[in-house]
Amino acid sequence: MEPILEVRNLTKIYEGGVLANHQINFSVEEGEIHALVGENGAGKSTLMKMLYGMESVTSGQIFVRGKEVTFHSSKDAIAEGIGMVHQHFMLVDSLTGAENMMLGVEGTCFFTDRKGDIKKTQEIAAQYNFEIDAERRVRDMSVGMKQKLEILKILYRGAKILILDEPTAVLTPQETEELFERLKELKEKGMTIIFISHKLKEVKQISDRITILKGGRTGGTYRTADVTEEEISRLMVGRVISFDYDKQKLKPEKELLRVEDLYYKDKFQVMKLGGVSFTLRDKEILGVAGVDGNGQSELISVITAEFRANRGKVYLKGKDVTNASIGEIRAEGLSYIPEDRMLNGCAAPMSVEENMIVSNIDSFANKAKMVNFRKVKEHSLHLIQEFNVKTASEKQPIKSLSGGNIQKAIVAREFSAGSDVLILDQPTRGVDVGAISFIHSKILEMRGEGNGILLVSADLNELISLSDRILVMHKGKIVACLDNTKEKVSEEELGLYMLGIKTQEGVSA
Amino acid sequence: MKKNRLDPMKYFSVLRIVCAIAIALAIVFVIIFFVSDMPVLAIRKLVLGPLETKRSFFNVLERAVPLIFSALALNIILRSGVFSIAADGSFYMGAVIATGIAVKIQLPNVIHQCVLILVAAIIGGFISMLPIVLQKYTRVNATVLSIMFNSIFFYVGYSIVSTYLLEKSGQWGSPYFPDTARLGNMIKGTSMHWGFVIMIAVVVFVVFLMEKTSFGYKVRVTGINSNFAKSAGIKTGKIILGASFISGMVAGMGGAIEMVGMYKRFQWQSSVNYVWDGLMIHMLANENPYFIPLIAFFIAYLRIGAEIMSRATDLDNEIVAFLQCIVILLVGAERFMYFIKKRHEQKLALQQAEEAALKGGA
Repeated sequence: MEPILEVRNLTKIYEGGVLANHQINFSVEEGEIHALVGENGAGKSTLMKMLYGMESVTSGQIFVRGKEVTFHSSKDAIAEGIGMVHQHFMLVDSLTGAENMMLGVEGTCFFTDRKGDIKKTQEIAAQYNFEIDAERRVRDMSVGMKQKLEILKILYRGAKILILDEPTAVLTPQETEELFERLKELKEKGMTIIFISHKLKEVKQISDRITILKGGRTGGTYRTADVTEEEISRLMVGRVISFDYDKQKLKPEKELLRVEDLYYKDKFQVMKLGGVSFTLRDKEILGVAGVDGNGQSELISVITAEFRANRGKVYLKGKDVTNASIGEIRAEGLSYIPEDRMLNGCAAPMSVEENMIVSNIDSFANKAKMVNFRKVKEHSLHLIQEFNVKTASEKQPIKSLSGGNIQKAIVAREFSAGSDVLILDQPTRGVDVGAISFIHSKILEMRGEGNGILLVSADLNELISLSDRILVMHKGKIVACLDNTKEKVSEEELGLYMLGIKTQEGVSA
Repeated sequence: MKKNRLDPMKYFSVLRIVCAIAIALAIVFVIIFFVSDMPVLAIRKLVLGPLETKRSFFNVLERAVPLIFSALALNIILRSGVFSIAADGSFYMGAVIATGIAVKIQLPNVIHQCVLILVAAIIGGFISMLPIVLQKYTRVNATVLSIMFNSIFFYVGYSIVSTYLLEKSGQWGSPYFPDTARLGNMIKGTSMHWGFVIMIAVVVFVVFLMEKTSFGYKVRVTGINSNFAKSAGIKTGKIILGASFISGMVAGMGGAIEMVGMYKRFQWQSSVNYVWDGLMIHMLANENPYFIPLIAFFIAYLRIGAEIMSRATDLDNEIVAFLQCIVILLVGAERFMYFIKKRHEQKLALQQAEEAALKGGA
């Protein structure tokens, strides 16, 4: 049978020379649910955007039902029967479900037919067995209903091939189950579904075939029944990584950072930190675990003086720095690797060299504030070598480096600043495996040199393999402080604390 | 090998500007051929006119002086990431202050000029700081504020001259400047004044400040990514304020020098709008202070050429505005000649992918 959709040697290079897709080949049979899996940054979204006409194709061909097509906009793709549900919904919040359905449909009159629209929407919903409230405004709908509305929208536009970009990322388990029921029904009606996800369990549950993307290339197509989750995971990541480090046994001697009874309310008056206290000592790595949005990033922001605490104190090496400026705290001996390296970790168009001196620029200047560029060059060349930053020269704009190398450059800058306290917020997020193990070894080296390290990470594996103690945050409070030195904490146990199912009585950290 | 890979893109922006100018000139030549009775003469006067006499060549240099001051002032403030054009107000007020000190205070030669330029610079600096300070307290956008302040300071300056500095008889304007206040003639037979030398010193100062000092570095980091600058401990508010002050100083100085260098008395009855020329030059120079004098001379050359052309032929010198528009349109258009860059980037990306694949295989 001829595939309904086929892609041959598709390559996409973004402006600025980022190679997102390289010689992608894959095909989708009519009436199947085809899963597309891959790590963050593997090129899944780019590929789908090209199939939906949202991004231009650099080279390669797309065939729909054996006919080569070129899409200039998503309108062309819709005309070929391709529809896409984006990860972030494309709905108008202030309009009703029915109005969103009819928005931009060809052949509608200049004036809207309110009742007719609602009726039509209900008919379509009934036809596909989707439950939606056509009269309700989108902003009042649940996430699950919004998603169903999105799917109906593209079905109404005559889509036969549905692309769903991480549809379950925002759904509760129950909503996910319901979505899967509907998807299976659609499949029985002869629809073809391309399902993008990195949740392997769901992929295994719903798909017929799987195509794996890795680093912008195709890693093969498999029948779902023939591969196990472990195999898919191995194909996605390349190799199974284990973080088993030989950690020196060290005895902390003095306290470096102490946080006392910290409270913080955000601008919507939501309590983000509700009385957090802990102590960070030298020669130790203190991990902070928690489900995203339970106050970890606010804690970091308060400690690094980006936000001001409503109540409570922060002491750095015994000195009260609760209301000190960022510059003062840094001068006092605190370095910080932010979560989002492009947002506040570097100046993208500036050179690697210039990015490596930003926090200690004054130490390179003489009394007349003249920067000694020879010293800067020596310093940055030294760091590039020591931290193994792969760059053509120190004058390259930092944005031309890969994510892992940008991160290594940032780590180099912060670790070489001579601070005693290092605050690391997701130091290895979105970084390749080689860079991860390199950064980990540097973190352990800093520990050995007597620094105190506060490590916030969403990667439990990372936390467990590096930390001496692990704090667990839940709803702005520390619910547990687990000792990780004698015996490794298990991920399951951390999970129980993170979800708030278990709490330690009288936590003292 | 590594160096070769980078080279073609290094001169890409220069190449783009040269091409834009060439295309603009070609279009203007075609127009001249259509509308003029003596096109060859017109083109010759436009292109070579400024080189024909000593006087007209030096006219180009002195015409460039205020353009360079404006462009440098904008370079400093725009690179801190704040789009403020308050330099216009500083420039006009600089000229007014210089006039006031020139006609109201008597001082010996040299000291008189130094005092009036210095005071104009300091007041210009404070004027440029105003939009930034007000933005902090009112949350009104600094761009809007700076445009409003330009109007305000034009009328403030105008009324200062009308009220305190007006020569009662004759045309509207101040009394003639005493010789101690004027920037004397540098070269006989031209109207070249010593302001040119001061201009060169200021160019060197700004290049130094922006490219070689820690202050300039902080300004650039703040302009490129203020979040990053903040989290690295740079006090971005202070840096922007400092940049706006220095920018205003340069503009105020430029106004004073233009006034006592080029004119015998204050007669600016309408706003001079050097700031837009400055903005254009800053943009064409690709934000690089090294190129600002070069581009400013080019613009001044075109304008003088057009004036000579209009005196010699039936064409109006406004044709230069046309030429400028085309150049700015092309340079501003990101897509102009983008295909060259794109091809290069794509080649590089594929090459890197192949290298990575080879390494992975081995």
